[in-house]
Amino acid sequence: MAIFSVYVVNKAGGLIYQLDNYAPRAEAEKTFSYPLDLLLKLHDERVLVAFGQRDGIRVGHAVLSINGVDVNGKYTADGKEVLEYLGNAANYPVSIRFGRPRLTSNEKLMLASMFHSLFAIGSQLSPELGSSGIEMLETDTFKLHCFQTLTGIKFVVLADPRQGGIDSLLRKIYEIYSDFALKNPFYSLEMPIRCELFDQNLKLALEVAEKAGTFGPGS
Amino acid sequence: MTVHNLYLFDRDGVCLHYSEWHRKKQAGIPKEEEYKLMYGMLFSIRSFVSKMSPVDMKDGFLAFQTSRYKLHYYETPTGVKVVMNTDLGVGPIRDVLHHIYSGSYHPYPASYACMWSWW
Repeated sequence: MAIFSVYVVNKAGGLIYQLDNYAPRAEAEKTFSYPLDLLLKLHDERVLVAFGQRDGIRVGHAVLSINGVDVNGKYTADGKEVLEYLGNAANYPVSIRFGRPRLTSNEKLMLASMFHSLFAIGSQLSPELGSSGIEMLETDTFKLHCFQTLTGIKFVVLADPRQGGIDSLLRKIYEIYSDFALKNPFYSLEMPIRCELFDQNLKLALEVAEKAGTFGPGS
Repeated sequence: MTVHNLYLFDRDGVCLHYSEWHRKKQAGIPKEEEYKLMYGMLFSIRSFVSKMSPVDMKDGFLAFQTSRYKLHYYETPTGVKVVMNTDLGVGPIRDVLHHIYSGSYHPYPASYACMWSWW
């Protein structure tokens, strides 16, 4: 039971705050000998598995580290190209760690804007009058909860499907936002939130939500 | 439990079937546009969900709900998508959508030799 991440999106659809609280990562490290029986391809500045799924290594997983040294995009830490390095028989046997690629900040920005549009389309395609946008999106691995304030700010929380008390958590995050971001004289509206007290209180609120499951009255 | 409407899409985004039972608000755009918008939204949600998910997914996107309705989604391995809008009091109906596909769509159009192009 965990809360994975929190996103705050402004009126225009831009991401103004993001926090990754808990990331369960399925990673697999294996030793390979030449030739590599997986097909790797370069996609979006990352080296991904295109074919050859086996033993916990799935299609779409990225190369995370080679011989224990973290890989930087398509280059190894020493600046060599990963695909070239793995194409050279002299470098084998090699130990490679594969896993789900982490989202870059750019990707998070794009996903937040994408959700902002999907929220609006959900409201437009409604068969009922007076519908809001998407408030809860369900998949088999996570549940996305969204609360839109009267001023157009969206608080988005990604949590485990079985986690409860997210509605009160969203209201609590709204409270923390108005107390520590809006009341901060140096904070400009709709801009990225860089307030330490907001971070601290948000982390505390997430801890309470994970443990208790709900917030009591008067908290 | 109220069912508002049902859409059936093939893997290319063509709307194969649309049924409406209780719909109080139309989308305000022509039906063709509405099908395209619905398919586009589902395509984007699937891509969004596969990137956001913290672990590898098996079934993927299942449903979403707003303050007034809930949209249920089921996709077959061949890319046929069954989408149903209901009211909020409805739990998971994945098996119902599967039945709509296998019981109603699959045996009849699929057995007509002239319908091969739909696949």
